[in-house]
Amino acid sequence: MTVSPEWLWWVAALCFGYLTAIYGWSMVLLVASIAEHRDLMVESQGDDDVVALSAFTIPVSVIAPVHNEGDAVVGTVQSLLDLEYHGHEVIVVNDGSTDETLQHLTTAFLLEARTIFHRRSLDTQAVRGIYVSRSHRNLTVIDKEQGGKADALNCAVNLSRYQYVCTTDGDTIYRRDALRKGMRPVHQNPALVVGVSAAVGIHRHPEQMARSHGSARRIDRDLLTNFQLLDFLRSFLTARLGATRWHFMLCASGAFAVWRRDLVLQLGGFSSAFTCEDIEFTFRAHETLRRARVPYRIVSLGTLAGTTEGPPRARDLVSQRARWQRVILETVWSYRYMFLNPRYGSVGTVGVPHYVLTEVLAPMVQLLALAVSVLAWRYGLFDGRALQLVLIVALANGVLTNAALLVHDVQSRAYRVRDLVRLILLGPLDLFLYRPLIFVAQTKGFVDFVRGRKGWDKFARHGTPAG
Amino acid sequence: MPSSEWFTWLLVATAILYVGSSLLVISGRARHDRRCVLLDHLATLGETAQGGSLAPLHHRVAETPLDVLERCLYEMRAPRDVLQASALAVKGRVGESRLARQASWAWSPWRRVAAVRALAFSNSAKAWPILARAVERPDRASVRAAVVTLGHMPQHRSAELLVHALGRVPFGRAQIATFLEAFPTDISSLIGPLLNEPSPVLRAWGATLAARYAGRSPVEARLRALTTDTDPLVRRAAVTSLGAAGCLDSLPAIVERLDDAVPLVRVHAIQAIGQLGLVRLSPVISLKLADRDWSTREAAWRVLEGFGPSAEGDVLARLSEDDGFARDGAAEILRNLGTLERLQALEAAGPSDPGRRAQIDLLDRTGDPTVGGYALSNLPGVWAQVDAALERSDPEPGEPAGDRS
Repeated sequence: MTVSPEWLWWVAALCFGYLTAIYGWSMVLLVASIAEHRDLMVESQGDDDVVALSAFTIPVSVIAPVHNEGDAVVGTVQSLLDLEYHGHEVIVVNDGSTDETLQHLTTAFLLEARTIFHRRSLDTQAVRGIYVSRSHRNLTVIDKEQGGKADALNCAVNLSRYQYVCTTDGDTIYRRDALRKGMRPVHQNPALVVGVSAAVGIHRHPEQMARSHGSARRIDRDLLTNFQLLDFLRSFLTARLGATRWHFMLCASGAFAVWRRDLVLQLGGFSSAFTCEDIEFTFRAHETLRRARVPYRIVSLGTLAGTTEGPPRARDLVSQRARWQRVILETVWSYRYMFLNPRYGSVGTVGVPHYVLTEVLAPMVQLLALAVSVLAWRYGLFDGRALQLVLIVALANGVLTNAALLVHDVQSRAYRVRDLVRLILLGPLDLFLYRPLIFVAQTKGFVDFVRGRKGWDKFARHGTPAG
Repeated sequence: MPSSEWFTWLLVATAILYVGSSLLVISGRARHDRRCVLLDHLATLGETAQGGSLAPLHHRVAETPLDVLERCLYEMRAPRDVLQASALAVKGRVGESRLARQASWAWSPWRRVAAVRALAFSNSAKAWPILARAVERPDRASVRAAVVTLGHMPQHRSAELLVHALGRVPFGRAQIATFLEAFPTDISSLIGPLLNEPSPVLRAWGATLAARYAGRSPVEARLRALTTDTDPLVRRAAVTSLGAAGCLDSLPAIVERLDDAVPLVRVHAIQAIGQLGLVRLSPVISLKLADRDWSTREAAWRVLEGFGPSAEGDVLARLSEDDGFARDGAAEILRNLGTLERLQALEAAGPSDPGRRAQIDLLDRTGDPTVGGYALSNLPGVWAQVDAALERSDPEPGEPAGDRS
């Protein structure tokens, strides 16, 4: 086959154009994120202690679905009980664990079986038992048949007492101020704010991060973990903050999301029909409220709510990110009628196209770029411009990473200076060491989506056991 | 395709951006760390000077750079003595008039906030008009900064402005109320008029804040009158405050709200009685196990369970109700109180008591002791009855759950 250089240049130009669009759009979002972050900082200073101790604090039901977490679940639940917040209950849902998760909880928190008067507003798998803690009055544990995370969340919503529910992950250690900061937008505007999301950090030993609360922490020395942390920071602090400002924040992370309970019930709860429940629920909330022309806000905060253990190996990372890619495609496809639809305001005209541009098209264009690169090299068409382009992309990535680090550091002062330097230096290397894995994952996720594959592919935890 | 020279310039520009942003992160952090060292030292001086001379603190503040002091005032994480010393130092160096201009015109919002706080915590008269204007501003950041500043000022004037903000500001009222509730001096003269406000929102907040003063008969009398207000949120706030303040003289007014048309008010009336610990009202509360509203039934369930064995007799009486929810709610309460085990143990210990046997029969009426494959306790019959009743009366999915707060 003869490949025309002109044809190759046009395809290369298309890929370059896509790249320019992506980075250009990222810079625009970055500016919006910085403005949003500045406003959040100004609005949040000086009243944390007052809110935390106040009887006017809106009580929250914190929900933690767990499945085969082993003894690590005790650390997670303890971190939720230790949240510095006046008036919160913790509902742990043991979603059909086959290991000793329930036994660990029973031993650690002195659980005893009870019957709780509650209403099953959302259909779920059968509940096997409900337990209350003799040591912690605000802890309830539900033992149920396995139904998946969405089903477990719905079960807890049925039992929750308060107006707001906070969904969490069973393998994350939460900061003491997570709920206080998470509820701040709600306290400031309870009539408007229906959902709040925050990011979580990545560390191989989340319990270590929790123990170093209040002091500068040492980041993980593992490169893969560092890259995952930077990826999270870029996503949450340079994209979602900007999306919040322009009212199209379309992914309230299930690791930490506060929702108004009546909205959850109105929407019929979390859906088990999608691979992950968090992004689809956010889409559905926007879709319903926009269609009803109800004023509302769903916000993402520029703070880290806690720390979780990321996939420790490249293979696990690829599985996880393939799952995320799959759920994005499932959701965007399911809500494709919102694409460029002005009826849905900025969600339809900016938010959904944003996902199409940055997530749906990404694996296809990357594949195309890879093919072009191979062909160009094969036919000796590479020149210095290709190398320059690669370096420009790497440095641009570094700039975005630095912006995320700046926002994160101003907010949290979480890391030592030498660790900040390490993260800064890793920014440009992301393109060479981390992006290829994400490319493989996105491609795999795309293929899985086309094949209609479902499944969670949970990676094995390697972190230090709790206690 | 662009030329190589174009790419070179783009590469250089991107590299400059990267290096510049890197230096920004590191230098910002270095400045912050330096600031923290200085502020920690000031905080230590403030703490060690408790009740003693603040001269070392003031001396150290005088040596601290201006931007550090301004940041300290902006963030407000330092102890009160340090904030005051910082404010005095900033006012002394910058001057009152210039600070007043900075509070209104500075480009940076944090400098505006720092300037206001420097004036406020140094007891400058220029602070009051600025704060009064700030709570009238349309931007939320200015209003919030002013509210937080006022909340940390113990003067009566700041309470006046906070009460004004409560009526003026359509957002964050809970936080304004938090500062008012915790105000260090008596501000009943400011809260009282809220109880007569035309706006039901303000009456409701006033009723909530009046809990602190409900022990005084004029306030209690007004709260009692508000239990029949036209607005349900006002009625709710009134019964909650009367319950929280332990106003037993107002008990009839609270009990009347048990039959309020709005479930939210009924719920809070039940909770107020629970808070007052009035077990002798458990017959009345147990009737609410059959209320038409789910949240009211749940509130009654929780309060009766909280009353413990003292309410046992009244709850036992509900076991023979026609209403399934009342029967099953009562059965669940008694199960959680361990009533059946206790009765069975007493019966086994002898002598046999016909009344006790009748109660055991009531609890033991139907079914199998195990439900769902596990045995919760030795309460034969109740579980099957409970589950069957819940299955029959389960509402349609999507039906509102009612207010649970």
